[in-house]
Amino acid sequence: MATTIDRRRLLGPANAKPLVFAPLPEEYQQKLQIDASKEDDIESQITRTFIKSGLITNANGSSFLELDGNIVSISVYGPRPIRGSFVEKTTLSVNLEDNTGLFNDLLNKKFCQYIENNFLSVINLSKYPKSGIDIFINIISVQDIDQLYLKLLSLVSDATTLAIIDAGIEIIDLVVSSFDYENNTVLSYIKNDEIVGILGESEDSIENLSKIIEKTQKKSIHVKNALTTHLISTSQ
Amino acid sequence: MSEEFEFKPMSFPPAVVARISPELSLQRHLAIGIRPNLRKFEEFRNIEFNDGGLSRYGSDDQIKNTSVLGSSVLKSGNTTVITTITAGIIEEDLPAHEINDDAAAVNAVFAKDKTDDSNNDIPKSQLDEYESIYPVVEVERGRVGAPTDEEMILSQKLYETFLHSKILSKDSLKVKVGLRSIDSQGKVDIYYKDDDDDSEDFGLGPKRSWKFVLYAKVKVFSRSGPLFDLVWASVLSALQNTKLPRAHIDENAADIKIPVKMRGNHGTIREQYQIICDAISRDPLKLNNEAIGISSNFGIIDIDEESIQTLQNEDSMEIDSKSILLTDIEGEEEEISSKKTISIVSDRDSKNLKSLTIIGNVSNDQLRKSFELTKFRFKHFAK
Repeated sequence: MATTIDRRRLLGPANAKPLVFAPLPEEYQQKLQIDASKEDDIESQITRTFIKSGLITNANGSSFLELDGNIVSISVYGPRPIRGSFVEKTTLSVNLEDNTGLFNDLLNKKFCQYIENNFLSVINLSKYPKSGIDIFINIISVQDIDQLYLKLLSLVSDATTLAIIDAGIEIIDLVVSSFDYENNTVLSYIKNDEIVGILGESEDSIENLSKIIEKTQKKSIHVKNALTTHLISTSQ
Repeated sequence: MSEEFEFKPMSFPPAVVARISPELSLQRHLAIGIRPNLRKFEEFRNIEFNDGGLSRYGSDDQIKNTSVLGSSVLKSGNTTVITTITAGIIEEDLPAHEINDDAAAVNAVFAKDKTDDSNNDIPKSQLDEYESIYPVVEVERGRVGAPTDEEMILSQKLYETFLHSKILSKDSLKVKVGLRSIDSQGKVDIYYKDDDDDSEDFGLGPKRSWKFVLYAKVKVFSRSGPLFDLVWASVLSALQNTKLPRAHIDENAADIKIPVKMRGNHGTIREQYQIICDAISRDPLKLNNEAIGISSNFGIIDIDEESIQTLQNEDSMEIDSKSILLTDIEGEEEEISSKKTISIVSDRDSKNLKSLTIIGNVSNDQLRKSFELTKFRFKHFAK
């Protein structure tokens, strides 16, 4: 419990308890059940995806992505000057803002860390000395926080790529991520076969690693095609 | 000896002039009869909103696993406002004599000097019957840290305007607690007491009562001018689709008293109930619909004589007065230059004012005009 009172925000009475919901009855849960074949079918997922760049006018770059009840909005600010001493390379910071109330601190950190790691190795950092790039991730809606949070992470990563491109920041290649439901693993690729990020959260994901890589790599090529097509069509 | 200086005029594209000299840019625009955002003087921006499907009760056949009870996604120009409504439960403070049958006996031991306070009739003001929501407004600006002045002022103004608009009555936030019981076959039943049901209480009855507190999280993207109007519309539309879950407590937790002994005195501690919200059943939040209105803002710009003189004849517009009333301020130029502003929040039929803020020296005519525009706008808004 917080020991200090936040006087800057109207947070309501301190002794109010958050709502606790009873578990959903079975007939409702079935509707929410995840269909593994649907999660593997990347091509139909791409056709269901809605992408829009540049919606947030006061950011340098932004993107909005919607798929299967996941809605994320990314805004990129920078490269902008930072105060303090000289730095040769730009510094990257990632913030995640959750509007759904489903994220805990750990998951929030995991997401930020993953995105930061991905893009640190992809952005041409030395091109922007004395400056900082801030990535703000806004999670607006989540499909399933318990089982498909890594799918959300792969979408966040793809959307961040688009936002960074929208901001005109130089990157080596498009970062494309793909998610493997079976092994609950997300991988991010550049140049089709270079891995820039991996996060697996199932027990046997290490044993199956080569299988996962093979599977996600195939998916990522589809995603990359889709992103490139999107970028070309919007640039005209 | 004289050196010759030549002054070369510098020229900038309009967007740059707007940035470095907003007042000049605005004056030049107004002198030829348009606003920098190409709207007419008395033209409002279009507002579009939908529920965004972010709520737990998006559609009847599907319930999402989230605690968001109502939502709204509003777009006006480039600005997007996303509001999500969540709730908490709080136990209401009741006078001791209503909670404990043996209050008198307890008081006799612990509070000997205190007299029975059950007959204290403190006159209640009307405002006591209404509740507000707890809004947290965040304007995305690419920075983290403490809320800005604007965010704090917006949240506070929302809270106060909402309370004084008398939209949400205390009764509508009462939790109608049901009781969950498991019979000998292990079958679970949940009983709810309906409004018109006069049957006896579950033994908890009026002795304890709970209420919801509503929180609104308002997120603003692409700010382009004063935000109160948009935030107000967004919060109200989110509340209009808000549904409150039914809640129940376990039968075996109901009305448990634990005897305690402290310094030789005997007393009882009552069980802390865990209130569980039903996964599916819910009731729409009752709002006082007549009080729900719209908010409009106006800015008054005094026309600079000089800027009219700079115009060629064919450009000049008939501007009959020396100051211009602009509706729905948008953009940096208008916002910075509007030293006199009017902000009006009215109820549904624009019959009553809910809030009125006037800054600067505003004439009666201008005020009257802005009321007329508010009424006119509402007629169109209602469609």
